[in-house]
Amino acid sequence: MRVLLVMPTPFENGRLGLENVVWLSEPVALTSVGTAIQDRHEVRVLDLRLEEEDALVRALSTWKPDVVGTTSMTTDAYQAKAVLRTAKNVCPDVLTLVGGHHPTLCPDEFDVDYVDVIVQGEGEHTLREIMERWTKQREAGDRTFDGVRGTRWRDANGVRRVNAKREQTASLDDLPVPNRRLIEKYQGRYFFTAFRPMASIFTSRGCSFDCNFCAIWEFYERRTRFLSAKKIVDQMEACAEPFVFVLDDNFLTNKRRVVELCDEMERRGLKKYWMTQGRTDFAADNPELVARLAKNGLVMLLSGFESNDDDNLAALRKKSSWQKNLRANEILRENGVVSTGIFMVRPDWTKEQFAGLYDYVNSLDIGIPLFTILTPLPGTQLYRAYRDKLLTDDHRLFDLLHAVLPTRLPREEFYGEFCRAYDATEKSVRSAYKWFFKARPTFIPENITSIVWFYARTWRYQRIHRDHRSFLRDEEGLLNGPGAKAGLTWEDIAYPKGDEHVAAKAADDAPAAAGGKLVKLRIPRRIWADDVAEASAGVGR
Amino acid sequence: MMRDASAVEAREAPPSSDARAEAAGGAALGGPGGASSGAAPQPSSEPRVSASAASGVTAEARRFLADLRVEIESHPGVNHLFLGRCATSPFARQDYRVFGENHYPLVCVFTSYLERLLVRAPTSDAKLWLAKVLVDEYGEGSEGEDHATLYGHFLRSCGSTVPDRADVVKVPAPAFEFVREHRRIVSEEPFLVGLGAVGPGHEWAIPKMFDAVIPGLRRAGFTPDEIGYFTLHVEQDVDHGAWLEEALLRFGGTHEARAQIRRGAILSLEARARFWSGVQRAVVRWRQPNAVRVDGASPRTIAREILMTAWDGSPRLRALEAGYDSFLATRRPTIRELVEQGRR
Repeated sequence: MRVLLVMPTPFENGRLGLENVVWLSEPVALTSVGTAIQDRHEVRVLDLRLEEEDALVRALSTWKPDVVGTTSMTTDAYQAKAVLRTAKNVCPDVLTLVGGHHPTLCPDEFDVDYVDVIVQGEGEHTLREIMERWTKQREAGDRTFDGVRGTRWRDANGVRRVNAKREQTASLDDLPVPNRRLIEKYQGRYFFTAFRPMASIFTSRGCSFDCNFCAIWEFYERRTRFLSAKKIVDQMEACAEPFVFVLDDNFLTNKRRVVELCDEMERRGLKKYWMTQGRTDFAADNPELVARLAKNGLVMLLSGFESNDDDNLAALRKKSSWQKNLRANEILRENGVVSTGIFMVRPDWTKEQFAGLYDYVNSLDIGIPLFTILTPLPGTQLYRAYRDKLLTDDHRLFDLLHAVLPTRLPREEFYGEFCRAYDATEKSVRSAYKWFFKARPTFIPENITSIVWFYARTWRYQRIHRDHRSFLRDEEGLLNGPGAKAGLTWEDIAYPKGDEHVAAKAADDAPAAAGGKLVKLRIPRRIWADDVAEASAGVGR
Repeated sequence: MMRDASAVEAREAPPSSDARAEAAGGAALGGPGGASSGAAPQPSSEPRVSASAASGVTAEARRFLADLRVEIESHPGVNHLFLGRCATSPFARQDYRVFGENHYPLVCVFTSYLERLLVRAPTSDAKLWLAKVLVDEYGEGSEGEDHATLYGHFLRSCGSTVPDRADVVKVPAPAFEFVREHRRIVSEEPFLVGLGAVGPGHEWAIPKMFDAVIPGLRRAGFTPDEIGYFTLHVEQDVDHGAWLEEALLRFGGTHEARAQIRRGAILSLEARARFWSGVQRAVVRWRQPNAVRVDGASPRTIAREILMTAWDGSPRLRALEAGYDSFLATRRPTIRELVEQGRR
């Protein structure tokens, strides 16, 4: 059978969005599930971020797939639905599937007549089973998927049925290596800032921390699984691109695995630049390992610095400190690893707090500072705590660049402060590049075209980002969520106050403590798998 | 004033009861194979456009129409992602205002295509059929309000003043291109190509397109009265679909005729796909006037990136570009002029 897997655009093309300039990675989730069924079916991947607007319909009407699948993060949700709606319109007999973070954590949003099956959790084995069933049932038009673990499906009466959750694959080595030939036509077009052309792989899944603004640990049920060192280096060697982005949620989490990986890289003499995401506390606590990783090609580490304030970090359950951030950044700098730090401003911030953050960033000499706004993403503990106070329900505005909760400053001023971030921290970037050039003198001349390419694009993007009216225009007419309807102001929001790192221990013992403290955010400990287990215990709903 | 335009984008309202009765009568008098109600009248003294009218509707012609309908309903112009986004994304009234202001000129000039085709129709049969459609377009079946007037109500509910300033507002570029292409089709292409464009190219496309738009309009809080123009096209097109189908069977009896009808429909839909891309760009640019230039399917060279940056970074070049855009806009007619051009 023909299976078309579609990566949706994150937004209508051309709007605000970091994918335009900062980071466009391969659709690894799609290549991974596509590879899992490729031995028996013809699979194509369509990346709409790199296609013309009519590419989907043309592919549907000319190739006539039997199955169309897509994936969705929160901001992509409407686009993913548009993809499947279009698929049903053009090919009425097609089987439509959606998977990924948002459908897993918020499946009810996909309970619409043009979505046949919602895949929850890891998709590789689930898709194989779905395809086996559909191969047998298609002729009869039988769309029942009773018993296929990890799915929700619509029965003939339009009732959504819930199957039991699927256990996670015990060893990532058991999964087939994603076939990058599925996206051959787009190769060379993926990038992270100036690191281009870039391949993307994953070497682990999950995160063992439980930050309240993040849903990764909920998606993976607080487990982390790893690929073996040999498999990682095999994949890296197979990439033709000079840069490889390791898309792990938290690469720096297991010291033994990092050591084994360094051993394997050294044994095989790997010559690749690679980038990944990892925690600063690990880097701060393991300088010798960072040095080894850098020697083996680690050229950029993306970390959630989040804040310049331990109170804020504790409120987010980050379990790190500003000193660790500082130390990690020093270690990265000394080893010629570009540090990309994500910082989170809070809607209740004053101008002084913005200024304090920018001063802190300048003191770090961080290479690529990225600024976001604290956003209760669906599926997180923060969302469960603040869902009734949100100013908007529009998922497109949950892109970490818009304030979805009331701000203390008038919104115009808030965005004014937010959008001056890149100018205010230019000193940090300049200084970081001096350090980087000193540590890796040949890197910039070798990659000058990519650097020029990046700066050309980022300058154009900054024209939008530096203008606070861009943010206001983006949200015009869309602030009609429960908080807006109730006329809530920032004073109605019980943000964490900042003494949570002191209270954290007590909070563990007394989770039902009252007030707007961190402890309140920690009350809803359920994860999506709990919901699935409960739903699947019944007949369906 | 816009009532004078008496226009609709497509044959959107069902025929009036009189028109339907007339159509049924026509079928009974001369319709092929005892054509069902809805067939156009066929005075027997006039030459027929298609051979099938004399010999009866062939299975081949019916198959052609069935295939054509499938092709139209799966065309990118009818299933543009922008329409899918309307169905699934919570666009605001402000977004729909931009949408509507771009779409309005199409609604205002539709009858002018029919009028041109009427003049060029090779037979009395064809003239009668088109005249009947036109009567309906002029306001029959919509309580005396032509469809441009209905659309005006919608636009005003979005906060737009365009319907009241039609004599000064320039036609937006996507709409102008669409209208220009259709005027070319109905003026320069063979009659049946024109018929394919304004017939199936519109008639079978519009209900499906609006089927995507209506849920979005409802989500944005428009009342049923405010979106009457759109619901009219989806809910009341069933009768007219059958009516059109019979007319096409009558006109499209030969392979060549069918090829021309198909070509017209596809030309119209290709223009439609470009139009929706233009509308989406307009909606995006309303929110982000400095929107980044989208990459699309072709990677750009470094030189092009640099050139674009240099261009965007230069106030003089940007002013030049804005001046050029203004110049192009001055060359486009106002909505009123567009409507009047259609009558000449």
